[in-house]
Amino acid sequence: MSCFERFNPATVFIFFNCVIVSGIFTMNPVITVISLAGAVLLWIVMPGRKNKKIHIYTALMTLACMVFNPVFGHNGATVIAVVNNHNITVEAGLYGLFLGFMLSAAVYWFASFSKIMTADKIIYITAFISQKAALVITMALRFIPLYLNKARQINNTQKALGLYKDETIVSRVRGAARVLSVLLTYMIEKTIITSDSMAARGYSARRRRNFSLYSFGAGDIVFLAVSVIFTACTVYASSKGALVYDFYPYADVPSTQPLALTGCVGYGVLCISPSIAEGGSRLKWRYLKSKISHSDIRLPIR
Amino acid sequence: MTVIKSEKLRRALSVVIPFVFIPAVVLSGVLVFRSKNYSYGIFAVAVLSVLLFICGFDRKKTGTRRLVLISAAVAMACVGRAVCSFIPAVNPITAITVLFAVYLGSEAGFMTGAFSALISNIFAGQGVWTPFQMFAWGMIGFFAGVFAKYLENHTVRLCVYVFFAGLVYSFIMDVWSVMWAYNAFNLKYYIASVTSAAPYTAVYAVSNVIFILLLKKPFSEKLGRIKVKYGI
Repeated sequence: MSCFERFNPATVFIFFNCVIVSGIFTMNPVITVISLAGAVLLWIVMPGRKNKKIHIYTALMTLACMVFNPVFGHNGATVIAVVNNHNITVEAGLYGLFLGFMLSAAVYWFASFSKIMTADKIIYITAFISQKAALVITMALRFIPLYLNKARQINNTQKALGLYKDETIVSRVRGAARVLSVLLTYMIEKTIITSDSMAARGYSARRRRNFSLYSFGAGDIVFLAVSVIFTACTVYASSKGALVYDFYPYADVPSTQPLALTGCVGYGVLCISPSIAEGGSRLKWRYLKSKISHSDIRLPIR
Repeated sequence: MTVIKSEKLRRALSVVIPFVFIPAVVLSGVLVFRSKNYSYGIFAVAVLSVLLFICGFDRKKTGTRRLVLISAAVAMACVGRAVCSFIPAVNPITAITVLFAVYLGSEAGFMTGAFSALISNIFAGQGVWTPFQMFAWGMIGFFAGVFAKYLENHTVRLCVYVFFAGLVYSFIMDVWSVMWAYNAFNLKYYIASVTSAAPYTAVYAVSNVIFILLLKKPFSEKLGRIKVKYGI
């Protein structure tokens, strides 16, 4: 079980907002690299089945950015080649590389986000903004498997009735459209029944409240405090202009003034905090498991 | 939504949030993220306008039947996207959103489009593009509802609308990718990104028209019927 599953979804949502927004809207090579490293680390540390293709995908994307940026952008002072009267510069290539890093970081962050934020948590978050919206999402999520199942049934019925010819693409598409049409009728009738029974049970009679099992514990407070404080560091440094970095005309070494360092270190702590929480809970589990010895397990006396 | 009991405070918030809070968030962000101010601005505007729509939807009295019908439409669009996912760039979300918007009004259209994007992305993959997809599909639905009088019972106009909606959807997404990557609207990069996406855009726009041709008749008959029968 992921340690994130025990956090309140609001905490996790706020953390991801902080890390993604301050990461992708600060074009500073150090911040970008930290963001990518933190995102990859979290992706690796997180338990569960993971898609291995993501690494290939991000690598290809970074490569594509690095190659194509100099083709379209001709700024920069260090010219390595001239093609068709256009300069191919080192700076444009570097910009492309870091752009690729930034995009890859966003891909990794969102991959972890999608893995943690399951549908029930999205409903919980939405209920803060609007209960009606949360209700719409809840019902839609319930209807999806229902409709898929119903569509299969309708399809089989159509086949059994002999109305189905899957010889050409046109007839297949027509068959699919007929299934959809039948599904629509079913859906509308069902909708009316559902809404009427909702009304009969007192929906919209008074103000509604939402129920959830998530609690807000000490862990949430610590994690929330960490994300807010260290985001504030980065945002402060950013607002003072310490993190502004220009690739053109020369790609210099990023500034090392104290304010810039504060921003980068703050962002680093922010990025690494979920991995620490995750890894820490994993270590704790290992430790507790090692303490469970055979002598502790009491077998029932026969 | 956290229940605010005081009527006065609620009324004050409904003025303060759209006219003070949202511009403040956008402006302060633009000042903070200087090196990426334009892309932050456009992102914040997309997110907040979707939020504003949802809050407005929450405040209004919506009939239970209409509410359930919207969620059914969302589910249908998501099922359509899941079923069509084996063909790249083809999904019926635009077509279904537009058809529902024409018969159920602009607000239902916006909600159908926006929530279809959000929920189908649970399966298809969330990303920075989610708010933009919500915004783009929501707006397509919204304007279909606004022009419902011209589009209703008129297959050719509907096809033209959906074709251009497909193009506009792709162009909005391209604007975002260029703004994000280069923080300024650079026409050269924009043209490059539009041309590289051209086959997808073309397939998408044409597939929308095909979906409308297939779905127009059953949708107009059935949605028209329940509108009369149940007074939605």
